[in-house]
Amino acid sequence: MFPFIGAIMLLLFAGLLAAIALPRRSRAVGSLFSAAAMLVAVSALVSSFLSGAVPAPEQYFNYISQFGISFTLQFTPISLALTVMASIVAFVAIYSGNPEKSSEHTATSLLLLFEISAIGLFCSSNLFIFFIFWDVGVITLFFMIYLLGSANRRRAAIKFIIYEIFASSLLLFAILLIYFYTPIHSFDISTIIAGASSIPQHVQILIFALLFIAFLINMPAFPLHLWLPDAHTEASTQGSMVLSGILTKFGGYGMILVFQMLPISSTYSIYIMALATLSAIYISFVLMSEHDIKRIIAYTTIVEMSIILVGISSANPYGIYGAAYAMLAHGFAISLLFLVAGSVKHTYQERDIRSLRGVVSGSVSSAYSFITGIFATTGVPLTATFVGDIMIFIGAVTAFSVYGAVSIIAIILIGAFLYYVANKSILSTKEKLPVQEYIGFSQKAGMAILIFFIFLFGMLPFIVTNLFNV
Amino acid sequence: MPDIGYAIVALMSLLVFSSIGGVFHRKKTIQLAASSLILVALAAVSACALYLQDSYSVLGALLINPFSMLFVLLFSFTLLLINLLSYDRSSDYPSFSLLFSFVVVGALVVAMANSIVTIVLGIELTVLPTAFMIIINGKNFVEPAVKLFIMSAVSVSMLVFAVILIYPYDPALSLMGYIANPGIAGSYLVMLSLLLFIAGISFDAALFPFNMWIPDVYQGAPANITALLSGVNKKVAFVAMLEILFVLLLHLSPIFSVMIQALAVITMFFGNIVALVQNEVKRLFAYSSISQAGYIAIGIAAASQLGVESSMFYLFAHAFMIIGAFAIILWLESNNVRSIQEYRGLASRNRWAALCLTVFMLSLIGIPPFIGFIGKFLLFSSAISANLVWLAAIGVINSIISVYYYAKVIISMYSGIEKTPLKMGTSIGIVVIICLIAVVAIGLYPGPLISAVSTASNTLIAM
Amino acid sequence: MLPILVVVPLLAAAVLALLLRNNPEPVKYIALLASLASLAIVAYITVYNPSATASFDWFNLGSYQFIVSVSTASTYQLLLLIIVAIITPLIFLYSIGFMDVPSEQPRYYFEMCVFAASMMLFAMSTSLITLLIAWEMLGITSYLLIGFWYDREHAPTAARKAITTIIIGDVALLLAVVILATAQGGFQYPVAGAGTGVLFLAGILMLIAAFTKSAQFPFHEWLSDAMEGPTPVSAFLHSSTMVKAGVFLVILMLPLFNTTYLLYLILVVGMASVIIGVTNALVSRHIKKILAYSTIEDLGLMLIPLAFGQVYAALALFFVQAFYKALLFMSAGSIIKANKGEEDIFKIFNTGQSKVVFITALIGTLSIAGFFPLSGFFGKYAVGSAVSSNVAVYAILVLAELGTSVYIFRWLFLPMRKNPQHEIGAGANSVPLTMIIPAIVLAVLVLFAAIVFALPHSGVLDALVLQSTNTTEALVVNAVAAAGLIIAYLVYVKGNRFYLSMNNSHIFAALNNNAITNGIYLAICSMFLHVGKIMGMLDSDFDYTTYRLSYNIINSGKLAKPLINGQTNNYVIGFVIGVLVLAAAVLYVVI
Repeated sequence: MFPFIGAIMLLLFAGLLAAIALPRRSRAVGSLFSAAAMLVAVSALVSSFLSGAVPAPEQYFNYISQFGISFTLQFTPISLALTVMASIVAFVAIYSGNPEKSSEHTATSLLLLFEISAIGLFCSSNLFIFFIFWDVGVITLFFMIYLLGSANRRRAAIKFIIYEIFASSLLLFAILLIYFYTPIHSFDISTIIAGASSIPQHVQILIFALLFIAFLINMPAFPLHLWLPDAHTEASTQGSMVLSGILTKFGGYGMILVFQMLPISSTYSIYIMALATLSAIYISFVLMSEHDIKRIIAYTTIVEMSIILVGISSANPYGIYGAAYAMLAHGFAISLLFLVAGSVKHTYQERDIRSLRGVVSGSVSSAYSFITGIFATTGVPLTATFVGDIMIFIGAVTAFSVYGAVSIIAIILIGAFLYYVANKSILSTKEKLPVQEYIGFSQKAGMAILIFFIFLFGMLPFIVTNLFNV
Repeated sequence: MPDIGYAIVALMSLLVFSSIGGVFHRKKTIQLAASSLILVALAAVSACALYLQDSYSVLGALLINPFSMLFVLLFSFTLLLINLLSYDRSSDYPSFSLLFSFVVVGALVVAMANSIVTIVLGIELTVLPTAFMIIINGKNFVEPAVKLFIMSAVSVSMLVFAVILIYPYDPALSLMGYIANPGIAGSYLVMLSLLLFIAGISFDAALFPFNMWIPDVYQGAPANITALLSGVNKKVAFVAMLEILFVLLLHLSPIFSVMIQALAVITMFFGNIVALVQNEVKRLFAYSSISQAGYIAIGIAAASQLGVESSMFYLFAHAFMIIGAFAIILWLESNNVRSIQEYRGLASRNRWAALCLTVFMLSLIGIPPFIGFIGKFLLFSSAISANLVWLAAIGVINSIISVYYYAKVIISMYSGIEKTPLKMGTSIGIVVIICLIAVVAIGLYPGPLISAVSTASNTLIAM
Repeated sequence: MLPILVVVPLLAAAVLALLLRNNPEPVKYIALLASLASLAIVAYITVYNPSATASFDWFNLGSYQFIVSVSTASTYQLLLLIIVAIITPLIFLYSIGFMDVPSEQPRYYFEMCVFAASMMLFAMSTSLITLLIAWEMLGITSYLLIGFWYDREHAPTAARKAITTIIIGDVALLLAVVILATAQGGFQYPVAGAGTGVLFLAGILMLIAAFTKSAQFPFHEWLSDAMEGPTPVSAFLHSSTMVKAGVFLVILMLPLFNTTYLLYLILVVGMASVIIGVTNALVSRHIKKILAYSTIEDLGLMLIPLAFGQVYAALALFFVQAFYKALLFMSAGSIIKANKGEEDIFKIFNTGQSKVVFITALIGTLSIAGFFPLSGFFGKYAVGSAVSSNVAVYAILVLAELGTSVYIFRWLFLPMRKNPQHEIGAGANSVPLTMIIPAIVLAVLVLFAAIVFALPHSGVLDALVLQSTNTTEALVVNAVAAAGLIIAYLVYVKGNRFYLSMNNSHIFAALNNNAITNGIYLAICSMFLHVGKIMGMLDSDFDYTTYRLSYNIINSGKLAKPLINGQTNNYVIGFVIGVLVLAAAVLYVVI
């Protein structure tokens, strides 16, 4: 079996070294290597689809043999899907997320490092490696926000890092508890899934609470979402793309792991569902008070992740796999929206929807990509989000009857508001702003790639869903 | 192979004599070369012994075993780094070198000690010369030196009193000579001596409230001495604490565990919370160093083999992180960059230095894949496995608090653009790179160090 | 596989339109050919293979098989497919003349082809998944087409209003489908709804979806604004095909609505929509908006018999309405085109000059008014006879009939006025031939479509029957239509001045209730925005609170200032206290 993950990691690592070594050509080199990694990831997906099963785990070396930690990377159906998404989004971010061409060297290196950590996280077979990649990813993004952000980035970056380190510290604590309280001391996820039921009840509750809070911060959802809008407001386009597109999936993926690992978590699923529903609806109201287009998009991330949390909380295969698919879809959709927002900012030097006018006449591809992004966000059929959403709601309705589907109201609210934004500022041609600088080919290509994958995974979901063994 | 023991003793004597000679010939370079070479030889010899897993005693007073050799290796290596740092910084390098040789002897003696008196002597040999090493830098440095001197006087009185109290039960004053029997075990005198030992050593190990001198002295002393205090003296104290608690007074482990737990908790909170409002980087690192001592104490409080292992691992980790950090602070100090505000734009003046300092700080927070993370991971593991879940939780909370002040420094370094580049001296550069390699490499592949530490802790507990 | 083939040419044309965006010349012909190909396939299916099916597994998840399946086995569905297939080429032909700006054509034909394909898919869908896909595609293409001329002043607003309503319906349908799927364990259509519990909720959601799509009360107001789109779009989507998807959904899901409450709901909403449609159409001045309100009324008329379970009546009107409404819109488009874009019927004159346009429009108006033997009559008659058992409903319907007749002749007569000074009407002959031909075809269809009611009932014609022949009711329809014609003639042709003087009275304000509806919509939207503002403030307060909290934690570090003050004696005291505390700890443990 071809070691897909090893090849991806190796390519990215080589790309990282090359990008560091060649400051002037860093973007080209980085794009090249991450495109290669993307191709490997996609071919892993295709080969799994053809053979009907995910590739075997790839064991590399014993990391800390005293604790039985081996550096083993493996695909599960969910992690395969997320890996493909992460590799595509990261490639587009590297290739087209930076029309200003500012600090390309730093940006490319950090993005490649982040991509390594994201793919490593999704593919890690034990929680220790998971945690390591988690923290590396978080720190990398901290630097992305801080080094490449806009004027008020200091506060946003500190806020981000404190929230995220808070989450990761809880995560570390919970991982240690799991290790010492499972009968076979192990960090290995499959071993934990097998043995977690023998953890004492009260410890399970503690572990669950810790992991839940940690992942809730990262996802994020109300009431721990406050870091995200600020981080997005200040982050660069590339930072926003991978922040919403990939980083928030860490939490979602972790939350899925929690529900797979800890039997006790289904006891709380109704409360989690209620919280997630509240979060989705509350945030969709909050976003109506915003004027900054990036902030608005950032808030939709919270809404969508809350809906994903509803799916996970249903604790049945439909909801959980639906959540996984919705994460895949959301990664493309949200990074498309951020890419458009970045291009619009580049073209008009304006992000406030009250004064942003006439994008459609200055930059047609941006405008229609934005509309497509809205379609993908609200789950119009034949976009990937639709598949995820319908699976989520089937799971939620199965688990909680119709109460599970209350969060669907949030889709109406954000949909209505996003179309309002589109028609009020993007598509309106009254008092249009002068074009400062047209976007280049790479932006258009990036948008096209993302749109292509949005529809590919929307029209051919069976490539991924056939691997889900419900 | 007793030869190794003799070799170490001989090398220590050689170092002292060469330094005395250095005071007369006053050739800095030769002196640096000589002392560095001897330290390298010490490190090599101890590594050799560690590899051979020897276990015997030399002259009845010094022990050669994996535990002692591991710390001889650590101390000779870290002292070598500090020696390199001090070369440029010391106004009177030969005098420094003489005092420094005493510190080396003290540190190694503590690592290899077989008797309580040797331990106390060793600790004093590391602390008192340090006070004088501060003073020789000039008038401005009298105050911190005197503070250190007074406080060490208090602590040594405690230690001596503790030795006196234990003497009736262990006339040989040997670590292994004291045989616990149920009748004596409950004796209040032994407990009092335990208490005084902990108090006396905590002075140097920087556990609150015995550590209140630290911010002033760390800030006031030249940064190379601060690095010595934080990177070596503190480690020496912890090694002494391990030896006394886990060999001599192991049967009192329920009691000392509670005491150390209390000290660990208040030390972590004190260090981290006060560090939040510090504005001068060196003082900030003084508080950070205090909080790190609290983390190390978690492992001792766990009072298990894993606990000892994790504390020992963290001693290694912290030594490299803090010496690397203080090396950069030292370099910046000599360029008149002290406060967090003055750190602005460091990344644009010297990006590699900023990157290295960032790595050290991330490692101090406990971010993977650096050595500090593995250390904290082991420490929290030991607490949880010893059923001290709450202690691990407090450790975790403190890591979160600590993020803020480290992030403040990082953010300051990477904000703004300063045009004038800063160039780093060779010797400091070497130290920083060695520390960086250690921090990253051990973080990425901690297996060998963990197994070394594990063997060492076996010998310690078995003593 | 045959049914799938129906949509293939259109989708291919859509892709070609996208590819040829820099060279738009052939796009319109490709689209026309594609629609003709679709029509041919539909014709083949109708004649030779009326129960063709195609289905394939889209993807599976556990016991849920997401099957995309289409079929023409149901005569209703085949009927809708035929209607769409016939109208599509006519619209595309009409568009050749109407959409004469080359740069707009690729986007226009892309959206139109996707729309036509989804409409056909909707007509043929036999699984809830297919239905949902087609339904939402209809919604978004409608949104895109309404906002097609984004550089016009009101188009973005109109598109926004439409999509806001559409998204409510889409989400409602999604939820209904999910509920049905979990209740049934699959995505097949409900055969016999229990009508209680979750299925009741599913029924309500289905109805909400249907009402949004069919522009029924209280979701009706988007349709009049949708007239901002190009006229072929209005003729295609917003009169003859898409808006009827809602009614069709009600027909398809009829087993689900077999509880009294839901049937009442359908009846009440239908009646309300009829009343709103008629009243607004009576006073509107916009040549297309009058027709839009008329469409709202027509759709309400289709819903009312459904509330009585009389599907045949709804289908009769469903069938005939498509042709006369498309015809009326095409006429309106021709009139607008001839008057250089003027859309106010009070500012349009001399439409009688172009005989063809006038005669086709006349056929349309006579049909909608309900004159025998035009096809419109049969629709109106079927609806009337279906509800005649309920006198109150019947009475209201008769009144609505009268109103319909009045406003449609007002629509015809006012632009006919002769005004030699007025230059605008001078170009009445400048309507291109491509716009005339489809109107003529439709006029022929309107004239003779009623034949189907007389043909032997087999195949697709099974769906089109008139249950009874009641001469009185037939006479009532004609009489009312004639009365309306007379009133309109008296008021708008003879009593022009009288009418104009009434224009600002309270009665008109009451009739013109779209302002009220818009006000309510606006109030609801601004209420949401206000709640959003409050929530936003709450969120930032929340943010600020956490900020203060962390600030206080950080500043608590200053508490240590007096402790670490540089005085060595302090430190010694600390040392001693530490020893005492440790001693206390020892004592605590020992004792």
